[in-house]
Amino acid sequence: MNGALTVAGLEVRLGFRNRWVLATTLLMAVLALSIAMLGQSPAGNIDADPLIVAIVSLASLTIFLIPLMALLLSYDAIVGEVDQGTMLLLLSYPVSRTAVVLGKFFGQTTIIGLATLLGYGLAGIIVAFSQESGASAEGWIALAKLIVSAILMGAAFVGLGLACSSFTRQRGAAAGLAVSLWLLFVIVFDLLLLGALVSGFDSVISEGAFPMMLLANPADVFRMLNMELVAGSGLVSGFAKVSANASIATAGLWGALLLWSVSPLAVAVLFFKRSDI
Amino acid sequence: MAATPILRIRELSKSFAETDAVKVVSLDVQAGDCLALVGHNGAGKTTIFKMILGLLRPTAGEVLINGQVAGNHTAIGFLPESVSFQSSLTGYELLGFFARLRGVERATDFTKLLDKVDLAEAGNRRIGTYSKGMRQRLGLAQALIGDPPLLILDEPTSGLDPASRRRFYALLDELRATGTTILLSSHALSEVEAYTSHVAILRGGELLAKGPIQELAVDAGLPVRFDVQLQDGLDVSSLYLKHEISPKIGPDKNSLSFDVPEPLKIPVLHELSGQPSVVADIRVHPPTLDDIYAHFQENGNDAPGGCDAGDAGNVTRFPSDRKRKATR
Repeated sequence: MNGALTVAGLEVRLGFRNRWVLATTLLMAVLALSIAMLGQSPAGNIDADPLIVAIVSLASLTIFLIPLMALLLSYDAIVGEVDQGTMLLLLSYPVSRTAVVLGKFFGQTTIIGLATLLGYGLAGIIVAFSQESGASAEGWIALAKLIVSAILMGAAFVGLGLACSSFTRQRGAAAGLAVSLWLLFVIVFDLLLLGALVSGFDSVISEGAFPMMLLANPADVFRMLNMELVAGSGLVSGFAKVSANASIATAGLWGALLLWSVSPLAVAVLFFKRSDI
Repeated sequence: MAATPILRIRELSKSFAETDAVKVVSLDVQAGDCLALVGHNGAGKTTIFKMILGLLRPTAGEVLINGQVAGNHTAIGFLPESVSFQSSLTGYELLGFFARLRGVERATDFTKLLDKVDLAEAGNRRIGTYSKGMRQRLGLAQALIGDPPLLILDEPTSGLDPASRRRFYALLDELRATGTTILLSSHALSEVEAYTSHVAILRGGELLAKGPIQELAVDAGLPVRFDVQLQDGLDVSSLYLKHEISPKIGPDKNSLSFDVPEPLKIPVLHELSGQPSVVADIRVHPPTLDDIYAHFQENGNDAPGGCDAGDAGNVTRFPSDRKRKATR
């Protein structure tokens, strides 16, 4: 475990010195603040907690941005080091391959976590305190839920990126695989499911099977978790509404997200342990 | 009773798809020895290093370090061929990271370590600003963290200027004096000959020969070359030798060079030195590592002095107290 923590510490240190990571964090904070500030105007019309209105917008942003950030951060983590020759040196030390992958996972998830906490926390605080009455307890809980679930979803995509990175032998292939996964989980998966529903396959997809299919996508699990609060509020529409109305217990959703955050990691460890350096 | 070798390689083989990268290699290395693996590119040197480090699983055979199966990395310091580091770290940060991994962070004097490789003043600079030679020296510094008893150095002097190379080998001498065992690979045969005690010659994954350099020369039956300068005004007809030689006569007819088998070196030397009125100067050139290397690369392990596949005992004579046959 000491080896994993040492590697994680280095990842965090390198992350804070990486201009790309800093730029992405800043972008996320700016987007979150913009969405939060601009999203306050409709709140008066529908009499909703402005923090919850902001959270709905932030959740939509998160589904696009966090997986992309996590995959871009992690796709190169193994194959890049193998390519540069730094992995050979690292593994010549008394540190196991499992510890290396775990360390990179913990380090990169920490970077995602800090960026999320900074960006969304700041946005939430500004929104909450810009109202005279402040945010409701429900709003604060929803914000905490958004941040924790965003970090878990980030962990899932970091794990997927590490799996790509340990599966391939070339950085370009890992990048291609990572972008394909982003497209699949963030865009294509929902389109296919919606397409199936509207083109008559809804008779084939039973009422119970649909929510289960949503669980096969960490981005949808995240969406369902964060749309629970607003399912009947009219704040959501389209696929978000469909998923918000899916009948899965909250505990089940958290369990699915936790499973998603560790299972790709296990695959990454397995691939890396089998590869020759 | 012979001491247990610090490194024991037993009938080691590694195949990748249809390529046999290493074929039944056996080697024993005793503590305090400095062994150089030499061979063309693709001879299997780096693959052997990787198996010693536990980074590659052998197809057959085993590697034992201090009697334990490879993977006991605390005993090994490693410098890879193309050393590369995260450029945003400083020298001190990098050493701190590796010392933590080895579990010796508190016991390591990083300034002393950097001073050993002439990098003390650059320790706080980011590695991205280092020259190739500086990175190579930093690589050596990290390999020395925790004073590992076995150092594995893959092409350690590539990228170093001549002065840095001398300092590098001087440092290796210091380490050997303290009992550190060194296993290195290099294409610079003159350096290997000057600074290492033993060589193992590889070709296409096969171990062709191994042992102390001077013994290999003797075992291979390579001749000793004599360069003889005659007194002014004399030519080769003035010289008498009872041993039959085929001399190459210099353009001025006043000098000659010839090869003699190793066992005849001393008798011929006696004959030449017994004619001071004829001979002005004698230079004796024993076979160089270049000659030995070329001999085995051309003739394979069937050549005199070559070793059988998998045989660790044939020429594996690494105890430092072994009496050497050859003279220089």
